[in-house]
Amino acid sequence: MKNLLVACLAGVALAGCGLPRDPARTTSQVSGGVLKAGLVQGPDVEADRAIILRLARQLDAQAEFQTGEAHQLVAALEKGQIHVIGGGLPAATPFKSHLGLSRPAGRLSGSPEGEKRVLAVRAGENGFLLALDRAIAAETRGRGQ
Amino acid sequence: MTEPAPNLPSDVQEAMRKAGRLAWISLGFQLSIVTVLALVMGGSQALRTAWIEDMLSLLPPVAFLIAMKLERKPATRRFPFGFQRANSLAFLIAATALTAMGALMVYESAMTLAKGEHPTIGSVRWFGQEVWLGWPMMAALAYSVIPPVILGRMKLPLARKIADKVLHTDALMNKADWQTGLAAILGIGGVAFGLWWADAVAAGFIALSILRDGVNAMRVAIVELTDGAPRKLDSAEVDPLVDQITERLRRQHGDVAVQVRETGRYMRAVVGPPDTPHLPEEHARALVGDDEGWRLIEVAIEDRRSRRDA
Repeated sequence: MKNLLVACLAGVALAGCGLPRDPARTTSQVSGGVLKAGLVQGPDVEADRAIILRLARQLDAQAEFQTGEAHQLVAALEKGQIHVIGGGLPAATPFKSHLGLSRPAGRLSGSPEGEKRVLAVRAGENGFLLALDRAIAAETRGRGQ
Repeated sequence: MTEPAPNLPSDVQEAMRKAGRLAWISLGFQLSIVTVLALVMGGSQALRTAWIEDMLSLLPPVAFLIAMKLERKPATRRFPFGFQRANSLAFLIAATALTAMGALMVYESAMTLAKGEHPTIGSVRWFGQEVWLGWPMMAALAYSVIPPVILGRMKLPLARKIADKVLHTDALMNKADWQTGLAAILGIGGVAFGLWWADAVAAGFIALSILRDGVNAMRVAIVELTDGAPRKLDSAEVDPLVDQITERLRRQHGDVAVQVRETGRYMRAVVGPPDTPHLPEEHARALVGDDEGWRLIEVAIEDRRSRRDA
C-alpha cells in the first residue's frame, strides 16, 4: 500500500516532466500546431467534437476535422495522418488491438445495451492518450454541472 | 505387513515442516499478488502475461504440498511401495509449469517485437486526477517482486536439506517471478519514455533464462520417472553419491551389478548377480505361468540387516 502511495506521488511529480512520452511524438507534433481529428458520422459527433476542441485548446493547437468511415479513419490514424478518432466508437470496437482507446466518454447513442463510447489515438501514444483522457474528464465534468 | 513411510532424521523432519510452512506462505502471497495485478491490469497485454505467469507459479507450491501429504502415508495393498513417487510426479508438474511460463513469455515478446506493436497504457481516475496507469502498474509489480525474492532464498537451502526437487523448482519459479516483475517495471519505465520495445526486450531476456531453467528441470523430471540414476538437485548430472554407493556395495559383495534409482527424495539400490541381468526364464514361468512368464524380470530379496562395515 505504501508502495502504491509513493508511486502515485511519483506519478504526479513525473507528470510534470512530460511522462509518459509518445513513441511517435504525437503530443509534440500537435502542440502549438494542428490537431487533425477524424469523426465517424453518427449521433455522437457533436459531443466528441467538443472533447477534441477542448484537447486542442489544452495543447494550444488548431483543430481540423474530417469525417469518414471507420476503416479508412483507422488506417489514416495508424499512418499518423490524423491524431484522434471520435464520433461514436464503441468501447468494444473491432479495431481495438490497432488503437489506443481512451477512457469512456459517455454512452454510445443508439446502443440498446447502453455500451460505452470511446475515442481513439494511435496505438502506444501514451502521453497523448493521457492528455485526451484529461480532456474527456474535464468535458464530462463540465457537462455534468 | 505394509511398509510405513521411511523414517527421517529429526533435522530433516524439521526442515520438511519449515518447507511446508513456506509453501503455504508462498500461496498466500501469490494469491494476493494475483489479486493486486488483476486490479491494475487494465487492457495491458504485458501485465496480462505477468498475471498468467503468477497464476502458473501457484502450481509448484500446490504440487509440493499435495505430494508431501501423500508421501507420508504408509503403503497400502494397492500402493505396495507407498507414495514416494508423488514427489517425482509433482516435480514433473512444477517443471512443466516453469517451462510453460518461459515459453509463453518468449512467444509474447517475440510476437510484440515482430509485429512492432506499440503497447498502449491508458489512465485511471484517482482522487479527481487522471493518473497514467503505468505508475500504479509499476507499484503493483514492485509489490509482486518482494515476496518471491525472500521466499525463493529461504527455499533453496531447505530444498537441498530435504533433497526435494519440487521445492527447488518452486524456488526457481520464485526467481523467475521476481526477475519478470523487475523486467516489467523496467519495461513500463521504458514505455513511459516512449520506448515502445523496452517492455518486450526486457521480458524476452528474462524469458530465455526461465525457459532454460524449465527445460533443464523437465529433463531431470523425465529422467527420474524413467528410473534414471539419481541426479543432482540443480542439474542433469548424476549425483556423485551413486558412484560412492556402487563402489561400497561392490566392496561388500564383490563383483556385483548395482542399480541405483530415485523415487522422489529417496534412493533405492538393487544388488544383482553380474552375469544374470534378469530372472531366469524357467523361474519366472514357475511363478507366473507359461504365457506371461516373460513379464516378471526381477525378484529382489532384500538385505535389511544392519552392517557395521558399510
